[in-house]
Amino acid sequence: MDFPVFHLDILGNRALVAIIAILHVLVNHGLAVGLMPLIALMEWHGVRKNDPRWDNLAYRILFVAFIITTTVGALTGVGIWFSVSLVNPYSIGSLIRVFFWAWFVEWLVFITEVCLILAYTLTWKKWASGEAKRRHVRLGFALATFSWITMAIIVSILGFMMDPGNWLSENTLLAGFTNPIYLPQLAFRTPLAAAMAGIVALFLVPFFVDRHDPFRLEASRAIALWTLIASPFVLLGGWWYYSVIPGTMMENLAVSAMTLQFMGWLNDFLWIVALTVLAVLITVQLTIVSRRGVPRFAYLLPLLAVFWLTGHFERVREFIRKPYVIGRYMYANGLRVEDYPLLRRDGLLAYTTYSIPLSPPEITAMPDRPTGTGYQGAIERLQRGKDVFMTACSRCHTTNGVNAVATHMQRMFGDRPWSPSLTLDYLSNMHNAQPYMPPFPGTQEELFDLATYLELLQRSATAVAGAQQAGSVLATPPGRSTALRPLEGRQ
Amino acid sequence: MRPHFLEDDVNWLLRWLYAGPLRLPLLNVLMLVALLTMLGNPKVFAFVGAAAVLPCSVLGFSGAWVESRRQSGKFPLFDRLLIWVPGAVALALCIMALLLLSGTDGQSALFLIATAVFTFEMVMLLWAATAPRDPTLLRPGA
Amino acid sequence: MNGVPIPRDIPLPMPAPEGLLVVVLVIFFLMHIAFVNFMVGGALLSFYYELRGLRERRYDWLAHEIASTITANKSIAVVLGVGPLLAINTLYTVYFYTANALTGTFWISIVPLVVVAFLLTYAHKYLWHSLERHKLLHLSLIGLACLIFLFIPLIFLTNVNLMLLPRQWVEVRGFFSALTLPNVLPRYAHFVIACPAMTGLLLVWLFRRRSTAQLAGTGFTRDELLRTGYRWALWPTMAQFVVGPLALFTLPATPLVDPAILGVFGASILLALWMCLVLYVETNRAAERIGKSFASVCALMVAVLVLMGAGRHLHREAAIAPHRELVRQKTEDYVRRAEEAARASLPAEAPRSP
Repeated sequence: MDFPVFHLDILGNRALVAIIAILHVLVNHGLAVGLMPLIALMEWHGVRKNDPRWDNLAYRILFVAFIITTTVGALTGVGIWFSVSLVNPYSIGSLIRVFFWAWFVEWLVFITEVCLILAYTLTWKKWASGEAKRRHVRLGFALATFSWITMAIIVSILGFMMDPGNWLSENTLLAGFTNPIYLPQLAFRTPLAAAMAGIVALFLVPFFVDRHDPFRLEASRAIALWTLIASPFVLLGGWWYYSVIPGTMMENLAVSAMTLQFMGWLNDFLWIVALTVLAVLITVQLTIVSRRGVPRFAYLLPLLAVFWLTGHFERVREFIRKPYVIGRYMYANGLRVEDYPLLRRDGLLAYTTYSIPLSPPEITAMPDRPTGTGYQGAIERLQRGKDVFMTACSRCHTTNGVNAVATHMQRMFGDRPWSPSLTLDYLSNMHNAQPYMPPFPGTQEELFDLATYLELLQRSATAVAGAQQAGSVLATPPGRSTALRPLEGRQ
Repeated sequence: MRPHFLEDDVNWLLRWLYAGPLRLPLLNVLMLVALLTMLGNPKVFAFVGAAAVLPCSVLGFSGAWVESRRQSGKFPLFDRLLIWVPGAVALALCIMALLLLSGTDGQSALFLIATAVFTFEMVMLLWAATAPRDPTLLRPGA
Repeated sequence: MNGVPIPRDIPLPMPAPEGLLVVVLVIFFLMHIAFVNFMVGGALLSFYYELRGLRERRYDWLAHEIASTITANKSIAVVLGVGPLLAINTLYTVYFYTANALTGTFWISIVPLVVVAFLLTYAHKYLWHSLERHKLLHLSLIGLACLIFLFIPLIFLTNVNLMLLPRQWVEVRGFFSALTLPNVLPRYAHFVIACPAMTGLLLVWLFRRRSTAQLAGTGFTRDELLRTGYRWALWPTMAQFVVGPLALFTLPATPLVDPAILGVFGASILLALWMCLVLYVETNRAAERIGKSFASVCALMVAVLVLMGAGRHLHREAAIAPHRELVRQKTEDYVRRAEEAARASLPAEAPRSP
């Protein structure tokens, strides 16, 4: 990647994207895609029954959704763009070049959706009766449809990125819709959204309808019915998704390398789906059966289960990519597969424009400091090692934070000094032992430089600042001996 | 001399049991499950459990059928769903739980989970079987 | 001293002809910025009038009316920003992402900051009557929202400014050093002043359709409200005749000099003068006739904005055209070398152990 390297050394770069993206999925599944049809149905039911209580309840639930989707929902959507652009600009930049029109169409649908939800919420009280009310009900169903369409489009783009080979042969929008993960993913997400929305609505009902009002039970039962119908499809969709993953993964990894860990995760996924669906079903069945209603905190358990399930699902989905970020085209480090012969021959750093200078703590942590001319050479080696780390490793790893290299090294080598002679072998073969790892994109010399840098981590737990704090300088091309001044007065 | 205190207690117990629609079914199911667990044979458990599920489902099915024919209301789909779906889900989960536990060895965590699910869903099934006959259970104040 | 970095670009073709992407960028960005103006200006004006409303009751009503517009405008502003974001990512990949990375902490903080600001505006609007007797608290809600709305444009402006200064990519350290680069602050002033100006026009649009009967009891007459709106549009725009040229002439020098830029901005100034004339006439019109020239004012404003957008684009191109050429060459060179190296060594990937 040829950008100044944005880096979060404690939280890790992946976590930034994960937090924003999962929050976005929870809001858009549970409060938009899944909830709008339910609200539209409730309003419609109220009109047909001529019962304003349904209408009032539907409006209040909608209002809560409106507040959250137009703030947290909208901004986390933008946040995904911002965070991915910071964490892996080459991948998102490449995807936009191919999928520009898909995202553009998605955007037009979003505009429609925003206008519809504004209209639907803000005209509820005004278009209250007669023909205006019927129009309003139709508006609700239109909103529900558009919400689902935005999900259908974005899932196609997501699915495409997972499907290896397609990028190379047909990088078109249509390929996004025909790849094997698309329908299973949609079949899983749609009922999940509906079930999530049902639980959210059940949780909100006690806030808006008094305990002694028999309507509370009636409304809860109806919403529970919605959830009850959606839940089995969550299981079916999850099963379908689960069954197409291994085939897809086989394309990405060497056949023999399907690790126990990943299969463990995948099986966990299925168990989590089953348990979540069970939690949802039990709570919802109790709602239908009980005469006095279920206490509202009881809905927190299935809600949390759904959050956990969503988080796990997204994690599994992201993991399928590895070691690529775009299947078979670009590795997670932002380097293309076809770049590797060049980088292996000439070196990664021969084509890296930027460098983040060593910080004083890093220099202090240097083991056996030579004196005189040897010192300059050692500093240069260390700087190159840092540049290699920042360019090839920092997208997924931190030094001492989440998914820390130091932790992995500690696990592998314990308290023995992590000198290059010890670690080099492991570093050059990592991608064979860990199939999620891309191969090393540089020369043997650079691997040695990297090992030299990583040795620091045994002594220094100082977080490494990214370009957003420490700035960037022009990398000095290797072979030219210029005096690299260590950072003085620079943090 | 008749032990009045015992009679009062029994009367109290019976009144308590009949007060809530789920209490008697729960008691019955718990007794059944306790018995089957003590037998110690998951396959027998599944067989007997299925034998218990069968009449409940028949009862539930016929009751739901009658009730859904009776529905003259304006919202046939919604009312029919409310009549059929809870029972269908409970039945499906009962069967699934029985299938799961029949494959275990009677000691494992899976057996315990499956037994718990079976107990719960059996109670739900009984509720669904009797609910259509008691309109107040579906629609309070309807 | 560091030289100018020349990174390589993504070696994939553009998804559409560049002209089309430029049109998407400029047009939709102008729409986005108009609604951002309405949103920020709405918050500022609502705060101002609510303060005045502490003394004169009727201004409280006006503040509430203005606050109500923020809800819709903010959502439209956010959603309209996505298209330009896509376009700028495609057209100026290297430039935009570099600036983002160098100001990353503040760039990503836009997300939580805007969420908080939006929630504050909701609280401000929907709790208006329940906080009737807690005006201090109520005012602090919108006051805080205003502060956030006034800070966020600085983050955007810092980014789009840094983006056009490759030499600075290896000089800046963090957001604040990029903030103080020319000419972020004059442009910021230009933007901030535009907010009440655009909102003035929004007020005219809002109230011109209301009849006298609808406004009875508010303490305002229709012409009074329209005059207020026009004044907000007029006087800040007059200030722009000082701030605008200041922003224009403090723009960092570009490697290329494009005479069309001055021409385009010159034309926009002339149109703006004309618009101010119409605005002035409107503010002095009698009650029955005020508002009749609203359509012309809007047309002129749109024309001014389009010219500014075009001028800005020309400046952008002049600033980085030579650098882009260097980047393109470097990218081509890199791709060629990669292909060569791939041909020379097969297989493409290190064989994995069996």
